[in-house]
This record gives sequence, structure tokens and C-alpha cells, in this order.
Amino acid sequence: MHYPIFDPGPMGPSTLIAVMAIVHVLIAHFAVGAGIATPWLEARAMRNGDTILAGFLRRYARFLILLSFVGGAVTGVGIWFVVGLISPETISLLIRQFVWGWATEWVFFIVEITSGYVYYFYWDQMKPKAHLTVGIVYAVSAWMSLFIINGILTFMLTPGDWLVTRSFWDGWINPTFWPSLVLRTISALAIAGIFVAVVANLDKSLDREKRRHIIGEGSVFLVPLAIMIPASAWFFAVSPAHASDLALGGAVAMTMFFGFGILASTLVGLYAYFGLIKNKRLINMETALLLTAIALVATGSMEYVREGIRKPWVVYGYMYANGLTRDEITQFNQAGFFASDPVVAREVNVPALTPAEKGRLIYKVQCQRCHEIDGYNAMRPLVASWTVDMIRENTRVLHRLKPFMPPFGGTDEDLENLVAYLSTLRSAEWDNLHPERPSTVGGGQ
Amino acid sequence: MTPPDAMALPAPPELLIFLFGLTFVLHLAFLGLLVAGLWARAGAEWGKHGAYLIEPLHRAGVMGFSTTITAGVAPLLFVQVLYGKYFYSSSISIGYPWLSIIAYLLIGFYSLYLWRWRWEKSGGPSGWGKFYVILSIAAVYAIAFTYSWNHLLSLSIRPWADVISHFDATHRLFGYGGGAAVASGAWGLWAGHSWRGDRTPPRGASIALVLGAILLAIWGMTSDFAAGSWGYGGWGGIQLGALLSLVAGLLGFMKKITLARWASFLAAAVALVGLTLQRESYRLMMLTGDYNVADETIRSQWGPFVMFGLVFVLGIATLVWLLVQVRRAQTNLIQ
Repeated sequence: MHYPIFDPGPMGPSTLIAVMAIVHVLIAHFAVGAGIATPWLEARAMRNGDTILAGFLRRYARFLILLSFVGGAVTGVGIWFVVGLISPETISLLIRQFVWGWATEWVFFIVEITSGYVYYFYWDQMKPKAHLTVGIVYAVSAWMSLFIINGILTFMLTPGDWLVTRSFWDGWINPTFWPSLVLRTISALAIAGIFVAVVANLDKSLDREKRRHIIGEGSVFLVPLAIMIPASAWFFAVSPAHASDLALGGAVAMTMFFGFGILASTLVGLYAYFGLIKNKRLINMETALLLTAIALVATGSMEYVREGIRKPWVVYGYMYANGLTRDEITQFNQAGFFASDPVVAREVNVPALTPAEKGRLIYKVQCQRCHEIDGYNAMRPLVASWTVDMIRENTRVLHRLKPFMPPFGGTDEDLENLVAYLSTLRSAEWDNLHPERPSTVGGGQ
Repeated sequence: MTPPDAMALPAPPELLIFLFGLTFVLHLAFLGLLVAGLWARAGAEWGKHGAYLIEPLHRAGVMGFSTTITAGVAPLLFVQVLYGKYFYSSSISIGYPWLSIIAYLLIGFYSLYLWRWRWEKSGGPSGWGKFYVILSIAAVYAIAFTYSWNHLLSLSIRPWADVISHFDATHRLFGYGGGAAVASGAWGLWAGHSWRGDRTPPRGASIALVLGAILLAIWGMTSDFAAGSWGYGGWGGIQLGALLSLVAGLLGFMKKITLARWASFLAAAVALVGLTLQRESYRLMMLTGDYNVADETIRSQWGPFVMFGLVFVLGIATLVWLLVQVRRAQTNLIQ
């Protein structure tokens, strides 16, 4: 509405956000989990005089710095960049509502980065107790970053009383805050545990027995995965009913991704307990990479579900996935789309445009964020077989026909403009494909 | 009952602008550390410094890059709060080149590590080492250029497409390049000299200070410094910073390390504050008539602000504690 539209091409805006978000979530969760795991294991090594584990931890910390201090920080900023291009209304709302939350997180982030570098670069030069304390400072600050961001992320699904009060606290400590924090902490620890196996296998100076010992020590962080199911049940118990329904059978893709995420997490947790802790099995490099891939796919699946069950909202009950608020849709319905002076129409003479050209501008604002013409979630194949009347009726009642779609916003004239544009995407071959039941029967052209 | 405006400013604009400026200065100061790390690497590759410098140089470069990104998050946050309407629009107008900053960051950062790895492997300067130094410098320049591009675009209220073809981000780099050179010289004098065996001021730091003074002076004479006390104050700060930087550089050449250090610190502080004041003054002038942040609805969130304040104080205390630990660790090493 108030911004130009960024068109990233065939991959679509959602893919761009998804790629950046999944990579960032994996790395950021690793930073939190490894932040807790490293001083924990260091304390164990100190207590038990375990020099093998102590030697390994330094290499593990180097891996943490190489991966998360670069990739994590950059992709974190990258998410702001990408969302700012694709959904500026959303990020603008989140920034203004939670600026002090973001700023507080920034302080924790600075402490996290600084303590992480001190922890790694001065490993041999500090007294053991001081070094361990620096590690604990890192762990606390990394987890506190998660604590704060978790509230902003869950706000989007369950803004709770914020919808009425617009209070920072109501929005931040919202209904899904605590279950989500538990889920993310479990996930962070598990990723840290998996990377213990990866780094141990990368280290060629370790023989088989030493590797087995280190992986056994790290596997304790995988065990909490076994409680993913009750934690998820808690999450859905406090989620909006519509959102839970989508994940629990209402939308096939959502249910499958959710099922995969939960199943993979639980199985890895059980494998850690029975295979690694009870039977002291060794994880070789191939298995470690397989577990990493499963963690990546499970993380991606759960993030997809988290984003998907919110639909048609981006902030539940306030802003739709296309960045339009309820109030804006109401204004469109009453005064018309172009009366709101959208940015996309500022450099054109609207009255001189054809209906299809006007419809193209409406499409850009209301549909393009999720539907490329060709490419990601493409519109052309969706409407190729439809008649003009079908396009009209489907668009008019889109939110009822598909509960995860936002309602169309605009007057009857706006609707006709959009229909005119979408009709240009139809494929003529469909009109004669089934002569035994012509398109004119029950639908018309 | 109608809920309050969800897009209201969360604090008085003066407070947000102050924090924006403060954190931007901090970002520039760490950018100086990054630039110092890069210069020193170039010195090691082409000037063949002793091997004892390599680890400190590596740490300075890596920590400089990290702290620059981290410190840059806060001004990025406040610019979105205050001027989001323009910032997002200009970002969208640039599109993929704006996103490519992410790639530049990754290239710049990892090439620092690759340089360290190559140095160790070759046991000194090498062709690849030079390549990685150039790559990291090019990445930093590309980031600065793209940021300048977006910033200048966000100040214009003319149609974006018209402005894209008429911007000049290169000229602006005189000012910020000068600021970075002065800050890097100050970092060099404060941190660098203790790494040298003879405890003399690094020559590179003095060169950076003199070069920074020249660049700032050119920028001051050729840029629009805008009207109002902020604009004049900023311009004056830049010129004073240039003068102090010149003095610090000359003192460095004369090996008067204590005086040179304090003069360089003062030069960096004054120049960076001056650049920030000038930047904001210019922004306000450009947006006049179209946008005034003071006209926004304000719903101050004092409770969350207090939370931030408390965590900030706690964070500073923790950072000081960490520095004490580093100091002790360095003492342990020396002993």
C-alpha cells in the first residue's frame, strides 16, 4: 500500500524469506544450544579431569565462531533486509511495537559476541574458573536473545490482548510464548548435540574411542527431543483453533510437514537415548551429516508450519499475509482500491488505464506477495482452466472458499478489474478440452 | 472501544534520534577498527611486518568485522523506527543490489579467515594472501557504497526511479572514508603500538590519520552541510576532527605516543559525531515538507524502555568485566 512492490522473480518472495529464515534459524539455534553445551561440557571436563573432552571443546568453540558469528549474524541482518523488501508493512509494525525488545536483544547480542570471542581467543590464557564464567556469560546472553526474539515471533501467531490494548507486554508475553520457548530451547540443544558429532568426526586427530567418548558426552543434548510431542501439544492447546486445525489435518501439506518435524525430532531423541547413551554407539561422519540434514529439514518443516498455520494472517487478527490490515480492506470495500492512493499507482494515469491494467496494479498489491504469475505458487496454472465467472466468484468469496486466503478488498468495479487481468492468464485450450461438457454449462465464459 | 494506533512512535522522537545518532557513532568507531585491521593486513602482505603481528592483526580484523556488524544493528533498528517509510521504499527500489550486501558481508568476513589460513600455510606473504586482503577490502567498500546508495535514495522525495539514475554515493565516501581512516588511525595508535616489539607508534596509523584529515577536509569543503545548528555543528566537528587528526598523525611520526594517542581519540570522537550530526541535519532538510517525525502519533512505552535501560547498564558492566578478564589473560601471557 504505502510502498513500492519488490518482485524477486520466479522464485517468489516466500522462497526468498524461507531460505534466509531456515538457514538463520538453524545457525541461531546452534549458537544458543552450543552456548549452553560448551560451558556445560567444560565444567564436566574440569570436574572429571577429562583432557580429551577439554581439547575437543576448543575446536568445537572454533566451529561455533566460524559458523554462527559470521553466518548467524549476517543472516540475522539478512532477514530484516529480505522482510523489509518483501513485507515492509509487517516489519515496520514489528519494529515500532517492539523497538525496546529489539534494542534489549541487541545488548544481549553484543555481550554474546564479545564473550564468545573472549572465550575462544583467550582459551589458554585465562584461569579455568574465569574461562568457565565467560562461557556461562555467553550461554546466558545467547539464550536471552532467543528469549526476546521468541516473544516477537510468537506475537505474530497469538497477539492475545495486544489486539485491544496495543501493550508491549501483552504482545510480547503472549499465549504461545512459553511453549514456543520450550520447543526452541529443545531444538537448540539438539542441534548443538548433533554438531558435537559432526565436529568430532571432522577432527582427524581423534581415534575411534575418543570420538565415541566425545559423542557420548554430547548426545545428552539430543535427549530432550523426546518431549517434543507433549511440548507441541501444549503449543497447539494455546494456539487459535483455526491454526491448530490447519496443522492437525485441515491442510494436507501443513499436516505432513508438522508430522515429519515431530516424528523426526522424537526418533532422533530416542536414538540418542538408546543408541548413544545406553549402548554407547559411535556416530560416523555419514550418520552425523545425515542427522544434520534431518535437523535442517525438521527445522525447515517446523518453520514452514509456524508460518503456514498463521494464514491468512501475518499478525493474527490484525494484518493479512499481503500486508493489508483489516481496516485497509474495509476502506477498499467502501471507497475503492485507487482512492487509497497506493504507491504502485502514483506514477500512472489511472483513469486512462484499461480494466486489465488496473487489475494488474490490484494484483501487485493484494496477490503478488504469495503468487508469482509464473514460478512460485504461480497464478497462471491456477486460473488457466477457470472460466471468467469462476474467477469472479472465487475471488469474491476467496476467504470462505479457502480459509487460509485473505478476503479481496475493493468495490465491485475493482473486482471486475482484477477479473479482467486474471482472465488474461486463462488458457484457451481448456475451453475445448472437454466438449462433452462445454464451459458454458454452469459457468459461462 | 477503538484500540490505540498500532503504528504510533514508541518514544518521543528526540530520544529515538539521540539513540540513533549515538549508536551510529559507535558503529562508525568499530568500522574504524575493521578498517585498521584491513590496513594492517595489507601492511603485513606488502610491507612484510614481523610474524608476531599476525595473530593480533587477525583478531583485530575478525573482531572489527563482527563488532561493526553488531554495532550496526542498532542504527539499522532506529532508522526503521524513525524513517521506515523512506528506508523500505529506497531498499525496494534498489532490490537485489541491496540484498547483495549479505553476500558482501559473507565474502568479506570469510576472506579474513582465509587470509589467516593462507598466511599460516605459506609462512608469510603470498599471492593468495594479497588476493584475500583485496577481496575483504573490496567487500567492505561494496557494502559502504550500497549503504550510501540506499541512504541517499531514502532522503529523496522525488520518484525513486528518477533518483536512481542521478545519485552520487562515491562523493559521500570522502566523508565516511575520512572518518574511517581517522578512527582506524586511533585504533592503530591505541592497540597497535603495544604489539610492536619496540613499543613505537605504528607508521600506518600515523599515515591513516593524515590521510583521514585530508579526506575530511575535502569532504567538508565540497559537501552540503545544511542549515541549522546541527548542520553547522556537524560541519565544524568535521573540520575540527580533520585538524586534530592531522596533529595526531604528525605527533605519531614524531613518536610522541601519549600525546598522539589522545589527540587521535579526540579527533575520531569529534569527527564521527560531526559526520553523524551533518548526516541527520541533511536528512531533515531533504525530507522537509514531506515528513516530519514530530508530527507522528506518540505512545511512549516507558516500561519496556526501562527494561532496555537496565539491560544496557548490565551489558556495559558485563563488557567491562570481560575486558578486565582479557587484560588479566594478557598479563598471564606476558608472565
